[in-house]
Amino acid sequence: MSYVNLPFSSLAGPKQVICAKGSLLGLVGLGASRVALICSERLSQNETILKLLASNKRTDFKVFNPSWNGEPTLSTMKKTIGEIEEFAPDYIVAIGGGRILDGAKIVWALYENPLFPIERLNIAFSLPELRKKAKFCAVPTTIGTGSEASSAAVLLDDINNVKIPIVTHCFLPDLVLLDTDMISDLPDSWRCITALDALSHAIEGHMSNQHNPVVDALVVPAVKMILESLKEYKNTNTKLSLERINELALMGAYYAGIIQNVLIVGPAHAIAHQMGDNGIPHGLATGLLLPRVLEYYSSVESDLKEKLDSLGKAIGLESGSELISTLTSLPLQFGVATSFNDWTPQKMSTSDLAKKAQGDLLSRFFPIQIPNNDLEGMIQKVWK
Amino acid sequence: MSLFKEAPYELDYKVKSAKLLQELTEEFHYQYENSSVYRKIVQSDGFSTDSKFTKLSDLPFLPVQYFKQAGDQLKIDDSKVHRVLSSSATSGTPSKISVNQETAKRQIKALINVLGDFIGKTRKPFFICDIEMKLDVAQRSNLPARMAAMQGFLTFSSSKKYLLEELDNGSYAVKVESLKKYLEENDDPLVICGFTFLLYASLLKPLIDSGEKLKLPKGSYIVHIGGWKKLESEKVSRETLIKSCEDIFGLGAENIIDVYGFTEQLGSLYPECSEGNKHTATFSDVIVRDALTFKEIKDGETGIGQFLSLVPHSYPGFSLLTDDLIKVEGREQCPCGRKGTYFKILGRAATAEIRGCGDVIAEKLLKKSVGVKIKSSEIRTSYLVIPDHGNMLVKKPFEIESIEAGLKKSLLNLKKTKVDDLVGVILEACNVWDTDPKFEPYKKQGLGYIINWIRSGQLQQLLDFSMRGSRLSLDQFVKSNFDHRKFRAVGRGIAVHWLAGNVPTLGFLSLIISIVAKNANVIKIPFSADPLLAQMIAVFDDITYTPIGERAATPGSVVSDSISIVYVDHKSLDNAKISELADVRIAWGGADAVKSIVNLPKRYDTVDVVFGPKLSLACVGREALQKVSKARRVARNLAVDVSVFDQEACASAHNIFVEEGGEVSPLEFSKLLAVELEIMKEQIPITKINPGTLGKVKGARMDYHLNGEVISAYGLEWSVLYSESNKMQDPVYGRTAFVNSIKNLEDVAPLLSGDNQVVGLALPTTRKTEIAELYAAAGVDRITSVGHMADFSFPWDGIFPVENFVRWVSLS
Repeated sequence: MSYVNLPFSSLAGPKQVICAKGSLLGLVGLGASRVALICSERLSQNETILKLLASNKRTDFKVFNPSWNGEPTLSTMKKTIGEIEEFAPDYIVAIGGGRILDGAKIVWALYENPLFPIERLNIAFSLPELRKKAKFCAVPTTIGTGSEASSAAVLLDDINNVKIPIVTHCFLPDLVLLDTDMISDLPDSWRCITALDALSHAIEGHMSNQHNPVVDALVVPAVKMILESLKEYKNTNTKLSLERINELALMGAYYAGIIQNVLIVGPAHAIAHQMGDNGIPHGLATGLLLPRVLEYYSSVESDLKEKLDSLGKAIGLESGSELISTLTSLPLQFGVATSFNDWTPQKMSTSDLAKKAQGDLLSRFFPIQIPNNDLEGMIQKVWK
Repeated sequence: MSLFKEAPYELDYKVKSAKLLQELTEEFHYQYENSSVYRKIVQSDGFSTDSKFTKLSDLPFLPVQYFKQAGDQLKIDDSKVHRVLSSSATSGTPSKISVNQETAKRQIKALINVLGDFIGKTRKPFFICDIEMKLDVAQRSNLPARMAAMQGFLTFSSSKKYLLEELDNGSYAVKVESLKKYLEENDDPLVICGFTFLLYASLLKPLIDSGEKLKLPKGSYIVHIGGWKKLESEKVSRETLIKSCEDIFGLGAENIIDVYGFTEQLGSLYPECSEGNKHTATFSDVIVRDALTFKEIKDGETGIGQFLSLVPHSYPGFSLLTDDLIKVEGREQCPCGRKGTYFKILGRAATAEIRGCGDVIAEKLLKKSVGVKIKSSEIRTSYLVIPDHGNMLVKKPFEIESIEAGLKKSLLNLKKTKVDDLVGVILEACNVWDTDPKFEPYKKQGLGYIINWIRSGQLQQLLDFSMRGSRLSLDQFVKSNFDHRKFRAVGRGIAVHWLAGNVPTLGFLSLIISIVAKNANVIKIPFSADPLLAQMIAVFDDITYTPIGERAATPGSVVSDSISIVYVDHKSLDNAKISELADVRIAWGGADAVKSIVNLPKRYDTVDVVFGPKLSLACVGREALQKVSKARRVARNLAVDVSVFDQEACASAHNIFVEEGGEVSPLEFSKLLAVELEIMKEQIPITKINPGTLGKVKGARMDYHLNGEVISAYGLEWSVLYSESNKMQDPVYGRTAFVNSIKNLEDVAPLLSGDNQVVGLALPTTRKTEIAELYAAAGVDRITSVGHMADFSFPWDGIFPVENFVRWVSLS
């Protein structure tokens, strides 16, 4: 790892990634003394997981159900932090969706650095090195999270209702297990919502002002795999097994996670971060906003239109507009909301949202400067 | 020298000071022209033949210490020396002044003028409270100042008798019979003279004890000279002395005359009048200056005295800065009627060497007559210090056994506390130490640095480094990164800390490390320790660390309960007992202190952690001197290393080796360093003035006036002493940088040893690594870039400090 801020693109990733059905078996070889498993109550009953962890006679393990319900906040995480501090693990395994993985990362950071000044958490790369006390394993149970490939964890500031990204490359896990079994019983609506988030990671990252020769190459396969997994999942005559469909989904989402970590996402995420914990799932927010953002790009900047067209063609579509149509139609196909109003009647001020999105750290990576009015316009289209 | 013709105390100050300035200016030019050493010294301060002086305080001055260092060279070139006078001194080299016929004449003139005004010019029988010193002809040319002073007094004598007799066994006897006999046979007034302490101890005290009175004839005088320090240590005040003389000899206070003077201006006497003021004559004056900055101080305020006198002419002694604390009471007319400056002597700058002749003689004579056997009553009682919540301390007698039992009990709680919770408690204490104004003086002396160090997360980092990568091993067994073994670190038990100095804040570092390694602690403080030290510990009683996670808070009492603060006299047997109690002994201090601690009895498995006397230095490579701008940056960084902690830290730079061959020469670099040290004076203000250090700085400057170059502040705030000697100089502290020009930095290696802690390097990376390898092999503990020498880092003194406070247990 080079610790110099070089003017070149670089790629940092997890130490080890295993993508396969049954890859949970990797939990046997953690080589730890005490393992803390952070997962939902439902998963804490999962016999496979419990058996695997218990199989290592040299390891003590304990299950912790996250004390936060929804986006993690400092106050809702206190209980789990206290429990983890008491147990003092040397390995933390987080199994779940984005909220659990991100929350577990923050718990881990504060367990390692309990005296770190909280007010400095939002300063990127300010956290001291981790792994003085524990290593970290991430097992996603949804398609879209990207947390397992991300140097960030999102914390909800429950006073200002704003999401704060905590950034350090130390968050990149020691081990990522992409086990297709973990998403086999994912409900259709969540399959779609989280896949939309993964698509927005890949496509917003692709459209950002950042480039990386290694990561750029992942964009087409990522979008292609996610779209194919969704298409084949709905195709009653598919020749693909569910295991293969899930593998495509998990790998595509993992690639998308790498893309968002390196190329950085755009306006859809910047707006979604301002919506706090208002009940609209993060994946739905970004997924519904994404086509509107792409429409806007195509209408104001020919280079961006061209870039989007190329992406559309590369994944086997006619054009960028076909990609936009595909993205727009996905929620309908999976029977999830097509606008925010369908999900929550509570409407936030669109001008406020636009203004705050403009101030989000992500705005630095927008490919073009977007006036407030235009940002507001995109929001109004999904929050009619 | 027209002023010698005037009556000593008749001129108005304005007239006198104008004339004195004129005559002293002539003296300056005379010395400048005729004394090459003097010329070199004042030239380095910017004086020349063109120098003009508009007031007395403009005249350059030399510290009296210079005559200790180089009295034999500080004289008029090629002058015919009549005699050399040497002062007494308790240690080191005595001051020497070279007196020729002209100066001798002036000494006599001055003495007659001044003393005559006080005791009258009629000759009287003199009884000298001293032993008679007989000199052969050869010795007469090298006369002790003590004898010269007495000889001067005897100018007024019609006859002389010595009241002390040296016995064969080295002690002395008082021959008071000769005085009694005279009194039986005569009614004429007489003079008893001698050094203050001898007069009291050999004549007055025996008479007080016996109740005998010796009424002296009317018009008799007692004249004493030579300092009060020794008498004050015997709790005898000026008032007591006068009262005793009045009672026993029947004299009024106006007939008991305390005369102030010093060897380097022998002949200039400042007798004390009945109002208790010392008087300057027409040919002398006094200016009061700040001991550190040398800035002139207003009349009525206390500072060190700069004495001006027309008496010295064969050597540059006309304007001398002493260590004596002076307060000018007035410049016009004393209530006693005498005109001119009158002042009080308020003692000598604290810890300055006993210097008054009388004090020194008393020391020497007392050493002969008193043995060195220590009586048990002289041992101060050991006590336990219990800090309360005010500024006072409760001192209680203690039994080692009860301290041990208490600490072992407290260890149970300490060991159960998580290491991060202990760090949390310490951070809470830092918040109090940082914000409570009573700790402000400590903050300037290292505490502020420690607070910042802890706050920046360095303590956890040190723990992680020292604990094989994870501080968690202080709480539980942790799996090795290399195999399946698990290991854990356990605090050794009781750590005993011997803290050095009155304000031992740096010793807090080892205390904090010992606490987080979960040891109970005994802090052995010096007798003179500031009560604030115990107050710092008391802070733990009132704080609680609340963790971010939802779990129990940790009370600070976990820490304070596990600390005992004790005072034990260094002669007490309790020292050995405390030492035997220790599982870890931590010694901070100088070589002697550290040696005496490690030589105390201990258990066979006790671990010693010694933070002994180490010295640090800096090396500047020619690559860093290729451009003036680059050299200036290096100088700025080095000025930081010289200035932080006022050079008292073992990581402070003292010697600086500067390599030849760069665009900027070592001497030019010295000048750049001087500029930066002057700036640093404002940015890192001096926190502590140690008079002993100030004396050493003056001495070092004189050495370099003779053998190198001196670039210094107007006062004593900083000094750059340049030479081409290629020698490692002993430190004198007080921001004194010895800059040595050297051909190659590789040649520094043979000068290094295990006594060197840090070397600050100004070099490009490739060469830095090569030089670092060389210096590491030579014994140096830490190598840094210049500007970072004092950053507390690890390993420190060659060890990862936490390691010595724990033992390792494995589980496989």
